[in-house]
Amino acid sequence: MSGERGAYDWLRDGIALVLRVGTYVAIGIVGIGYAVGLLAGSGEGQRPLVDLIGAGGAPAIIGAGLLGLTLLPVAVLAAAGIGFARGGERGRLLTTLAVIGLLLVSLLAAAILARPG
Amino acid sequence: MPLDLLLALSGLVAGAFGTLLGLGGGILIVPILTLGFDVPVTAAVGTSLICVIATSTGGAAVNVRAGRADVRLGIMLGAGTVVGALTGGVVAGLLPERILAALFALLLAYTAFTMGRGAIRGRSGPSPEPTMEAATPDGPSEPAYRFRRLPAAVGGSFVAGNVSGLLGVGGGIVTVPLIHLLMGAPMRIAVATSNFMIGITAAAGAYAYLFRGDVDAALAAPVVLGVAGGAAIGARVSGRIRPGWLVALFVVVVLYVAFQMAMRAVGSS
Repeated sequence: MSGERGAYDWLRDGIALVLRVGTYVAIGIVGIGYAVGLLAGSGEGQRPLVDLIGAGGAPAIIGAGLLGLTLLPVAVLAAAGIGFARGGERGRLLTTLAVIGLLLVSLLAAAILARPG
Repeated sequence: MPLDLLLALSGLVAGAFGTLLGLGGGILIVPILTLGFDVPVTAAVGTSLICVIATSTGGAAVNVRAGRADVRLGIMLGAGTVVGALTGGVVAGLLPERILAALFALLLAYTAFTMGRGAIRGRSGPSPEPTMEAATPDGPSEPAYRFRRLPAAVGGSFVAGNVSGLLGVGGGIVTVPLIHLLMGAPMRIAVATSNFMIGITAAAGAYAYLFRGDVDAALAAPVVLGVAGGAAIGARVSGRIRPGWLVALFVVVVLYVAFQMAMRAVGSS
């Protein structure tokens, strides 16, 4: 029982930590990119993420922050997966891996489909 | 520069209002960007999804730590919402702007109806979505209830994900009743679990918009920063404000916005 409890606490605390730190870091990167953009006076338009990051400067920093925000749920699920593995919850671990897989496949598919040509 | 400031202020208002009313802000960001800044609906939806992730992850950090969010249930239902959001994100790229505007108008009208009915019944709208600052770690360390009708709930979560990916909202308007009414979880757990799921769902939908070029970085940055600040302010003042008048104001504003979106859909605006 105490083992299960320990695993649950680890799961809870680990996920909460990833969420908190990840949110601050990603929003911080967006903020830095925005500030750099204001100082440099760059007025970039609407572009696909790959072009945005490739452009360098403020748009690349903002793009990295936005990508970081969207990848945060993957990190959260990874933390949950570690928690389930530690607690011996095989079924839940498989479900978590399936959701991570779906997110990564969608990321990959979006990146591939967005490529010109 | 003034445009940036206006965008940040709009995000601030959407974030604060959304947090005070337990909505997350997505339902306000899309109409603000579309009607106020003449941003195409797809770009507004993409930007809104990013904002929804930011507000969800901030709140979920506290909810998970306090044991209010049922992580296991959230991930199980997340499988349904992720598939739904992927479908919604792809379909949104294929639908004409007018159809998206019409669907959003319907969603707004439904939200106004739900909140208005709740207020008339003596409640103050949906339970406030606990956020990073507002929540206190007084919840159970482990959810002590048994949920039911899991297969039906996974099906329902697909619909929630679809609404999220298609219209750029969190989908909580579907998942909270699903977890509370259909599965029998306590309201507090339902709201916190839905908040945890929203980030995962919105991420699945956001990839399609980001890589398709439907998110303008120059536009998204001030809005995301504004929403994050607004959510923090909303959470800070939520305990001091009587939400009755706020719900009434929200219902009126949302009905007006729904009308404007409907006008845009039929091409009169």
